[in-house]
Parts: sequence; structure tokens; C-alpha cells
Amino acid sequence: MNGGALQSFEFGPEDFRELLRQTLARGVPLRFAAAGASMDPFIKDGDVLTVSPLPPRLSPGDIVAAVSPANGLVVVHRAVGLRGGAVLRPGPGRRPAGTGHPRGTRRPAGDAGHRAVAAGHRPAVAHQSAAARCPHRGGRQAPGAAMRTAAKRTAGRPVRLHPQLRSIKLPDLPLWHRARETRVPLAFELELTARCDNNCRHCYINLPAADASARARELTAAEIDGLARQAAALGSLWCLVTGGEPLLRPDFEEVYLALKRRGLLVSVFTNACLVDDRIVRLFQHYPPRDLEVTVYGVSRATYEAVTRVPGSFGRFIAGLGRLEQAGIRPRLKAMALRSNLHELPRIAAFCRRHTRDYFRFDPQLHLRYDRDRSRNREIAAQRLSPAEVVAVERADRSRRRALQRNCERLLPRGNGGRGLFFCRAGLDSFTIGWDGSFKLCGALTDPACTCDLRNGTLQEAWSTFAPTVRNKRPRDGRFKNACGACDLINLCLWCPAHAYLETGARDEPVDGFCEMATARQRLIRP
Amino acid sequence: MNVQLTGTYRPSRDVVARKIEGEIILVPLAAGMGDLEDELYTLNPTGAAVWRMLDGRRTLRAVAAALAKEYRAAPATVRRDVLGLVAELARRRMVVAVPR
Repeated sequence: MNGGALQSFEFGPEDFRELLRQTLARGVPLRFAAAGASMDPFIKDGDVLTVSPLPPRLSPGDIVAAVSPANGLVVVHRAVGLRGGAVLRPGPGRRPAGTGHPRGTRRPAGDAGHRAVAAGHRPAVAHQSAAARCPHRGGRQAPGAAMRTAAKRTAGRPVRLHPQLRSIKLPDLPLWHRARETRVPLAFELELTARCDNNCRHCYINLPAADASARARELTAAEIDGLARQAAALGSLWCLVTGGEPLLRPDFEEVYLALKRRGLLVSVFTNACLVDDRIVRLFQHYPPRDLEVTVYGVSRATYEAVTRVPGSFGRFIAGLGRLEQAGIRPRLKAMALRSNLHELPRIAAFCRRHTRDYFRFDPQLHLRYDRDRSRNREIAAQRLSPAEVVAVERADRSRRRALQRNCERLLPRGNGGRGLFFCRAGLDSFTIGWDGSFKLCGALTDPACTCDLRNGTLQEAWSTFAPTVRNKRPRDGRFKNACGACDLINLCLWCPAHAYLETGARDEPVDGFCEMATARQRLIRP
Repeated sequence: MNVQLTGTYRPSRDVVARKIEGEIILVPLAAGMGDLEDELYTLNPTGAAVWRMLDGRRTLRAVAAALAKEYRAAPATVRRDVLGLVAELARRRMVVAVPR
């Protein structure tokens, strides 16, 4: 628009955070339209906020903008007390919605609207990388650091904690200091089942929902509770419940609550097709730390071309609708594959409209954990070419930025070929397989790298077995001159787990991966 | 929250107390107990001592008396602290009153 009229821009959460950070660093206020309802009724969705640099003194009751260490998003809440910085509180009567504020509008200062005041910041850390599919490389569960901001005081009484009770934000837990010094399994994944109600073409694990043999091998609720007790004793705090489709288990509620009652912060990955009123009530009363739903398509034809189950699209829409009607907004994500590539822009738009905070997609497909040749051929047929992957990554600004950040952190000359692992699997995380197997990560299914938790304790697996896996060395000098010396490793899907799935050897380069990493390098460093 | 010295309280089943690096960390399980998604709660040493004594049998008066003796503190001060902390915990539904 011209003639002094306002011009609106839409930003992704990461871009908005950077815009805010850089604007405030220059001492300049930033005005933007709020998204979300966590401060309703004081700040409504769409209200214009002005964030200004932090004043010399911050008071309880001030409205502050901050970067959430949990998800890296900018959130706006009320400060309820000060202890080395702001202690924040969401708006009255609402569960915080993890609101980012993507609808940024640069305006000259002076318009009506809430005024906010921003503080300095510590550098943000530990965002999950869009480049590395493996969460361990990006440090998914590690805490970020907050940029704290303050705003003009508005209505509402601040809440003060009793002096003997202190709120503690996750990044401030003493656990982190210990974890840096010693091996503490801060996080683990729990595959509740390999079975799924869908039959997705690209899936690396799914078995038929009615597979009696697989069902018989699954951990029981009592076994899972025992493992959760052991994990908590080892210091675990995060537990990601995944599958297969975890809601397929009739005892899901029992298992979920058992994990929570061990003091774990439980997240759930689901396709949402089996979300019924019972699950909604469970999540309303006992919210998961994170709830992530994969969107395979936004039309029935595309969705069911991926899932190969008639009626699944309707169940997905109904399940997502039940969650949203109950005020539960999951994070939405997508896989980019041959069968839905034509619809990816619409999928992304749908996800950005409905997601709790941000949207991410993955254009790289794993091969099967069970190395089933027939299913692997189906997955290979769904893989996008390096040119296609780069094209979709180029079109997504936040993903491109994430790749660039990863590129800036490229490991110098790989790891020198000394060991196979570039990630933190087995150092601060592990996976419990659906059949009771202990794995450093879900994808590391090489039998030489797994052990059976039914024949031993988690303590033994973590303390004794995991280090032997981490210490496995390449077979010969070839690795040292290939992936072990490659400075594109952070742009590559290669890791010993994926190498095994692709080639049957943990130290073997994968040709297609090299091509993809090189194409990505050209994207971000033309 | 009307918390009386004659009342008895126990930890709610919707909160888990974990000992991490020597600190008692309270992990809320249910919605509406905490203020933020990335926030847990920790008790200082005297708060932790109060928490351990909230067994659903002892009255708060007995808890305060035991703590005053253990810490050699003025009983009136300890009673005030116990009442304040338990009121805060009760407001957050982290403890529940046990009918006598």
C-alpha cells in the first residue's frame, strides 16, 4: 500500500522472533498484531501490541514478551514476580496456548494498543533443526534460553508465590548442570506399538492394526510402568509416546497416566484418527506436554492416497475437530512425499492455520525398521528427488533459515572418523521399542545395537550396554575418508542408524544422501 | 483458601514430587495447576520439610510444632509459614484437605 498506509507482513514464528530480537537490540519498538488467546480478555487475538526495550525496573503485573525456552516462540504474559528475571503468568482462566505472534506489522510508534517493553536477551539455543531429521542432533528436548521483555502494567492482580514455594522454569532445573557433566537420560521415546490404523506408504514402522503377533509382543502397561519408574530414577524428565499409532492401544489412558504419575513430562505423536471424547477428556484434564499430529493431506483423495485406508480422512478431520473444540491445539506437521507433493502448499497453509504454534515438514523418508524389502520399495517410490526436496525447502522460509543455521554449525571435518555417532543418542536420550527393545534411538535397529529390556534392567542397558554401542568403531579406514570427514554432515540424513537401514552396515556411505546434502548446500550457500 | 491449623492435608494425586539434584521438584499432572507450560515448582528446605509432613494424619498445628522443634524456630513464625505455604499449595490443588 502507498501514501503512508500501513503495510502488513506475515511472519513465521522464527522470523518473527528474529525480527523482534533485532528490532529491540536497536532500541526501537516493534508493533504487531497478537495471535492467540492466552491473555484473553486483556489481550485478544488480533490486538495490536507495541513491544519496547526493557525499562530499568520491571514490576510484577507488567506484561512481558519473552521467547519460550520450551518451543522458541515469542509469548506475551504477565510477570508475577521477579527472581533473577521475570516470572511469567498466562492470562486468567486459560491454559497457555504457546502463542507465537506471526502477524507482524511495522508501524510508527504512537498508535493505540498495548505497550510492551523489552529486555535484553540471552542467545536462544537448541532449536530443533529442520535439516536434521534425527531429533538428537538438534537437541529437541534441551531448553532454550529466554529473551525477556516487559510491558506496561495493565489490569489484574499479580500472583505471588509463597516464599517456600518457588516456580522453576525448565531451563533452570539443576538437572541440566548434572547432565552436562555426566550421562543422564533426560529424555526417552516410547514406542507403544508398531501397529497402526493407517497403512501409510512411507511409514518406517507400521504393522496392521489387527496384527496379533505384533500385539502379543508389545510391552504391557505394567511393564511400561516399571520401565517408567526406572527411567525416572535415572533422571529422565521427558517421555515421547509414539508408535505406530499409540491411541490404538486400548490401555492408552492407563499407560499415559502411569507415565505422568512417574513425574515425566509426556508428549504424544498421533494421527488423530482415533481421538474420541474419552481421549479429549483425558488430554483436557491431564494435558500432554506436546501433542503432535501428522497431516498427510487436506483432501480426502490425497490423504487416503497416502494412508490407503478409506474413511481415514474423515476420521482425521473429526479427531482434529474434537481436539480444537475442546481447546486443545496440537502442533501440526507433515511429511512431503510423492503422493502428496502436489498438495504440499495447501497442507502447509492448513497446518499454519490450525497448529498450536508452528508448522514443520519433513521431506526425507526413513526406510523400514524391519528392513522389509517390499515395503522399502514402496518408500523409495515415495521419496522426492534432491531437486524436489530443495525446491520445497526453498519455498519455506523458516525451513531454509533452519538449514542455514545448521550450515553455520557444520561439524569441522565431520568427527574425524574416530567414531560413528555425531548425535547425542545414548548420551542424554534413548528409545524403548514397542517390543521391549532398548535402542539408542528409534532408528538404530541393528541387532548388535539393541538389547532386550525384558531380560535386564534399564539401569544396566543405560549404564553398561549403551556406552558399548556409542563406542562402536568403523570397520576400516574408508569411513574416515568418507562420512567421517564430510563437512556437510549436518545437512545430511546420514547417521549409523540410517546407514544400517539403507545398506545393512553402520559405517557405509549412502549415495542418495550425499546427493541430497550437496543439493542443500547449494540452496543455502549458492 | 481457608486453611486452618486444625486441618490435615496430603499431597494431591495430581502432582508428583521428584527429588532432582537434592531439590524437591513438584511436577503438576493436571491442567490449571501451574502457570506456564515450561514451569515446575520447587520447595526450599523448610518447604520440603513441610511437604514431607503433609501425610493426611498430622494437623498443620502438629506439623508446625514439629518443625519449630526441629529448626529451633519461634512457633508463631513457623505456624504462619506453614499456613501460608499450605494455602498456596491448596490454591494450586497440589494438596487436598483430608476430612477428620
